[in-house]
Amino acid sequence: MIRTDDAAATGRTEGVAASPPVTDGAATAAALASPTGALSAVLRRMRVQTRLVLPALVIAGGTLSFFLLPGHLLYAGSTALVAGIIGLALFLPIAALREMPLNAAGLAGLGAYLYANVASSGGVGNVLLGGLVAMAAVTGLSVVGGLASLVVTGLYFVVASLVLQIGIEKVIFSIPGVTGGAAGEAVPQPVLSGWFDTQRAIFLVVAGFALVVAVVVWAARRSRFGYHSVLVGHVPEGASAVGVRNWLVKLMVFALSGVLIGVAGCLFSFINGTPPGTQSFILIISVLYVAIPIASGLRDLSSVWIVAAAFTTIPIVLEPLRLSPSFLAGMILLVALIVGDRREWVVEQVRRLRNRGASDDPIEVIAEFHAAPVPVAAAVNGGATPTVASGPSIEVVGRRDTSAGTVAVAASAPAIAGTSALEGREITVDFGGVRAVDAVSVRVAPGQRLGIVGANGAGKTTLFNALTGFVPLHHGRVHLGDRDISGWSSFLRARAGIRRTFQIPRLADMLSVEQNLLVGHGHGHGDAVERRERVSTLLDRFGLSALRGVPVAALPFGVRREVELVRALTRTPKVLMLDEPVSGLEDEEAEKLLEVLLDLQGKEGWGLLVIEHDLRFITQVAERLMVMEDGRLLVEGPINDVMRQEQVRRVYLGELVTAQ
Amino acid sequence: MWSRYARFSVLTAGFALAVAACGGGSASLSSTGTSGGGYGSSGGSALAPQAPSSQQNPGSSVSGGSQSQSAPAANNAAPAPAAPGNAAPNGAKPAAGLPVPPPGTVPAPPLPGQPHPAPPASGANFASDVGVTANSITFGAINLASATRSLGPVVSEPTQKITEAALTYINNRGGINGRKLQLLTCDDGGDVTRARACYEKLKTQVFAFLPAETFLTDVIHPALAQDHVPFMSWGWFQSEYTDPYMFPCHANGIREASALAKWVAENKHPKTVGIMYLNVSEDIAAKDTATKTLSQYGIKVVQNISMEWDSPDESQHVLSMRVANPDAIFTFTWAAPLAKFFRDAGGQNWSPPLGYWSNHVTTDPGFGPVWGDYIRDHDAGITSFLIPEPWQEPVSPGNLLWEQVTKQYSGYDVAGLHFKYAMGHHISQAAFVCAIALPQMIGPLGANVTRTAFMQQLEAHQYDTGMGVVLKWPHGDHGQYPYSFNKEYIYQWITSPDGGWEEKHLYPDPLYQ
Amino acid sequence: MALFVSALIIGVSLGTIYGLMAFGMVASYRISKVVNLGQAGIAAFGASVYWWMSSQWGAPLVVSLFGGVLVGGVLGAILGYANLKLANRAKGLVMIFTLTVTLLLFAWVDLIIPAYNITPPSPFGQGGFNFQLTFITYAQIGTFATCIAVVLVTTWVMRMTRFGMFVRAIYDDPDGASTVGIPLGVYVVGVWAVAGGMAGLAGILATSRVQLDSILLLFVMVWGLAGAILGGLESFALAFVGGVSLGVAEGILGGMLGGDLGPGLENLSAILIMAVGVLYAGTKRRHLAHLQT
Repeated sequence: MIRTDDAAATGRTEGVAASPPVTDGAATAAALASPTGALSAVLRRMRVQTRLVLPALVIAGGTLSFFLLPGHLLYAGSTALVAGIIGLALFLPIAALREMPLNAAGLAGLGAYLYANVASSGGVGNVLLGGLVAMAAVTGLSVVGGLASLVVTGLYFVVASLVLQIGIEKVIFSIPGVTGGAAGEAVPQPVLSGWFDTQRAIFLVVAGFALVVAVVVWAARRSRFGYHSVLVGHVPEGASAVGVRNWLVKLMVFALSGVLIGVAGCLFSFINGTPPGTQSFILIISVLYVAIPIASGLRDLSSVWIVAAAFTTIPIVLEPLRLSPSFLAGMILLVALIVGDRREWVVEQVRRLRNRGASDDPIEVIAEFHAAPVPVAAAVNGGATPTVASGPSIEVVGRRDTSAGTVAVAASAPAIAGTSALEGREITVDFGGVRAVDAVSVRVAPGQRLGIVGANGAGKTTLFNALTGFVPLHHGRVHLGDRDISGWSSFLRARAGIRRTFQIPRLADMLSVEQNLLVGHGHGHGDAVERRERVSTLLDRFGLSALRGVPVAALPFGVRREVELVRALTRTPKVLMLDEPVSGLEDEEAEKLLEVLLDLQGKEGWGLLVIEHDLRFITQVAERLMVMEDGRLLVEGPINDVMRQEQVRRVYLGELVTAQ
Repeated sequence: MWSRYARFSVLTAGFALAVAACGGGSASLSSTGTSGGGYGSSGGSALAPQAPSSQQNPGSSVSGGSQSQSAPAANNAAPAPAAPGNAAPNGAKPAAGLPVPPPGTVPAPPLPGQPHPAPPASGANFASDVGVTANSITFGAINLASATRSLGPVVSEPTQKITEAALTYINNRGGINGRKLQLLTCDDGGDVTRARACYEKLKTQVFAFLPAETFLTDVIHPALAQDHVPFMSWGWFQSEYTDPYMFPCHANGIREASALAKWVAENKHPKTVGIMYLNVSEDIAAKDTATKTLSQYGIKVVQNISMEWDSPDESQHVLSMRVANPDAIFTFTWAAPLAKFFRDAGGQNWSPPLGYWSNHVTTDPGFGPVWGDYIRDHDAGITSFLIPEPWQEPVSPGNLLWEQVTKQYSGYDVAGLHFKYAMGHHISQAAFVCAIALPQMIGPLGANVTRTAFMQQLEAHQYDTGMGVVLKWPHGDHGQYPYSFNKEYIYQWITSPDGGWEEKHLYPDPLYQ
Repeated sequence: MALFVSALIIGVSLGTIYGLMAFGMVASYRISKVVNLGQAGIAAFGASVYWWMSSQWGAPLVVSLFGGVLVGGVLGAILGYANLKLANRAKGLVMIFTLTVTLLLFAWVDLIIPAYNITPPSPFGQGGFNFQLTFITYAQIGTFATCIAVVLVTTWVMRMTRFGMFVRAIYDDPDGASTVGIPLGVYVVGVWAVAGGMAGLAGILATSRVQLDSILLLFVMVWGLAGAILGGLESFALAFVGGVSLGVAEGILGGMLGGDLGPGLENLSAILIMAVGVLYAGTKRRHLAHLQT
């Protein structure tokens, strides 16, 4: 099920066939007669969007805290904000990269001590210098920890991150010069009395930092960097295929995370006037820090603040009960998990309240867009035979219109320059003694269309992987034009213009269709307007405009395949490599796809290399055909010649061809 | 459906736990005063203990008329413990010679900008400062009562209970100049962040803090300097001694290490030693201090073992020590890993020829079964206060009072442990001696009880605990030589006549120099 | 040589504790692909039941052992059922849920255990014998033998029985297993119950050495998890080997080098060895990749 707030957050209003709000005067009057009706009218009039409810609550809570809370709860609030910053710092690696670092407490502690060591000398200069030193050191160590994610992932990364935590905790914290020794170091704090006292001032400062951090993380999530990191974390091969430097994105995520943890460390020292003891930065605390974003549901940033606040303030508020810290932590986690799991119910109630007495508006339409279980294929195929969607279902929201945008693509997309041909020479790939591809040579020049067929296990996809840099070559070379790109990594080949799709689409499920396409455009080429224009045109051209805001996870397989194909085209390729592009598509869909594909290829002039079992498709799309058997090239030539060869017809095409 | 039921069950269980924990713990605000009767009203009985002796500053007197008659300060004739071959504790002489700091050199009044209320012309009690009313003085204690089994219930609960018992004892004797004493406690669960919140909560409600176990005492110094709050502390951290607002009631581990190393070097004459220490800054510093002291005697440290409080096993360290084969082993570590080490070494039937010499962690009467059989005849520990050992030598008056107050107001059993003589351990002794001495510390201030005057009083006088220690916090440096715990005590674990655990006082008492 | 052998024995003994804690995690991972952090809580609770029955009620050790394991099994089954209900949630979230269970069980154990530093009696009895420079207790031998028995039995069950085949089928593809008629719920709850029983057993045997302190058990579990991951988290035998490897590293470094390394460095050295192992194993077994947060 798609979350309604996610729908709003990802901008799904665009392209949705939405009815304008219709106000029924009588209904509105009736609604206003009750308090909830009045509230709903206010919410509607203020155009409050559901997705803003939680952030608004968090900000309102923070503001009210500032004015109303007594000193010790203000201190608790400051601590909650610092814990929230760490929660946000962990949000990106966990939510985007799907890596769970268990070293946040150690890093935060190190930041706290380093900051205190420098800032304790007093003066604004030393405070700033202390902050810089702490953030630089913590960021550096976070990146060092992140290096492990380049080699290992998942649970192995968890253990690798444990190494850093233990190293900091057991070794670095043993050095009196780091921790300030037994006495610690005093850092400057405001000294104020009256209503605006020290704790209130500290809360204000920490809240300022928290706001900045929230904005930074919010912006990062919505930036191309954020999309890239999601893609890298969820489908690394897909990221490489569109030219993303996986290693760089990973390290950047850990760097950003480190900066934020460094800020939190400094703030720990600031709010306490000195860094807390090392027992505040042990492994179990790291585990609890990781629990903050996870328990918040990993969907929005506001929940992180709420869970962090619960973790830090509830034990303080309930202190007179003398509850076991384990019990408190366990109960808070449990409640967070339950509430997080039922969060959409709360959002739904707000949405309903907001819409009481009013008929459908765009938000309502979007909500329904996710709610009704109508097969997607029916929606996107204009009523063609429904296909059972593998993921969540969505309702009819619009019909594909493949007629739009034809001219726009031709007009906006520059025709491919140069005469770069992709050429694989004597490509040989071994897998542990098994030769998957054996000395196969292949060449696709601009404007050419080459098909590859062969039985399962013939080595077609492995050949693709070898050409695109996803598997190492045992022997042979790969050239793009004059350049030998054999040693290039996959993302560099993608950037050079070799774009591909996979048998099973490698898309970032958390991102919308449009976001996936923007990611596919890659780094640094063209300005933002141009990128969006290209994406928009392609969406129109392939009839996917209505789905631009829909998360890819909600799409059926066939549509995902098309989205991936479009993603490969977001930057005009030199060679487009499609691995079974019409598998899972209905005949009508395949024909439309073929029509658009050939039209684009003809206008833009790139080379096309297609693996496909659908002979009707391959005969329509390819000019030349390669047939592979057991990793070797059996025959290659103009498609009609190849198809006429008796051996090919008998062995590989068999009855299918005969039947035709 | 089931999941709803499960959640309900969990929440119900949680509520039950909460209620149980609430009932099991004490309320935050402990009203320790009684309106009469109780122990105070029977103060003249034969069971009445001797109050700790007070080395009062000449000229200072307990005002409040009849109230002072029942205050412990009035019973100042009790002798200091007289150990065989040892004179009265250092500093047991009157403090008349101690200079009173000139005005202005002591901390400023609390809550800057808010002048103290002027005393009434009648001289009657009034709300003279934070936490003080005409009828009461409220103290605070931050502890880790809800921390895990090895910290909270066993360590903090006895300390809190004996503090409450001491205040009740005082209240039942009329309080201090007619003001009853109250205790506000706050549980930090062992978390410094929660402890700081406790401090922020209590600082505007309490007059001063009394000793209790909390890791806050190492990191609260800047706040104390801002808020000008007097803080009597448990002495775990060295930094407590350098904070002008903090008045430690227990020896610091680093000085313990120095005194113990010197004592062993001079009395046991090992040629080689091993040192086991906890991997925290205080105990690393203790190890370094002991090493330095031992080197002055030409004693070689042949093995250093860094222990972790969360180690599952210590067998490898036993092996390491066995191979190094030192004459004696010093331990400046935490109870859990040390208990494991003892158990494993006992299993191997190995010990250094001159035994183990430990910091105060091992020297708590009543904890013998926790350590196991091996500790007997193998380990001796240094501690701040004399402990009751009626079979061996006369019980010191402070310990007598400790035991009597325990018996009267609390009982020996806490957290499933039966304390042999009185309720608790070395930190509970520290809390007790500083709480029971409050009438001497505050009484002389009369009606105008202020934090500043209180701190001036503490710095200008010294207080005999009756447990072999005379508390003093010289102005400018509360750890100034010779400080309160210049002399400490060493006890050897032995088998008691009934086959249980007992401790034997070793002489001469070590001196820190 | 005697020193090395002694250190090795100590390390193996330590490693068996980690391995013990890892078994239950391997079992629950094998059926649900969930890292079950509830093991520490169940271990603590099982151990406290054992201690309560043997020391407070005076029940025979064998009966107490059965009681502790049984309670662990019941708790495991409950957790397994909850896991079944959470099957469509992210695995990382379910993992945090199991951590929640551990924290709540810790709180419960803290309430029912009246004192600290409790060392429950080993079901294998007291005593032992000198060997080289160390002393081998019957408890250590019994614990080691138990680990070997668990490894042999579980390996046999997984490889040779229909039950094991079904478990592997569910691990590979739960939906596919369902479609061929394997009762998914029964198997998941059953295997988690077995995992809970293993946790109870681990708690009983481990606390007779590390003491009945819940937080300590949490750390033992983390090391056990690290060992299990080193071993791939899919094989009881390799998890045991992983745990023993960590224990041996710790034992040899601690026993042979001791404090010569300096504060914390002994610990760090062991964990660096673990890091190398993780980096190596992680590159070889990438299918344990995503936590699916």
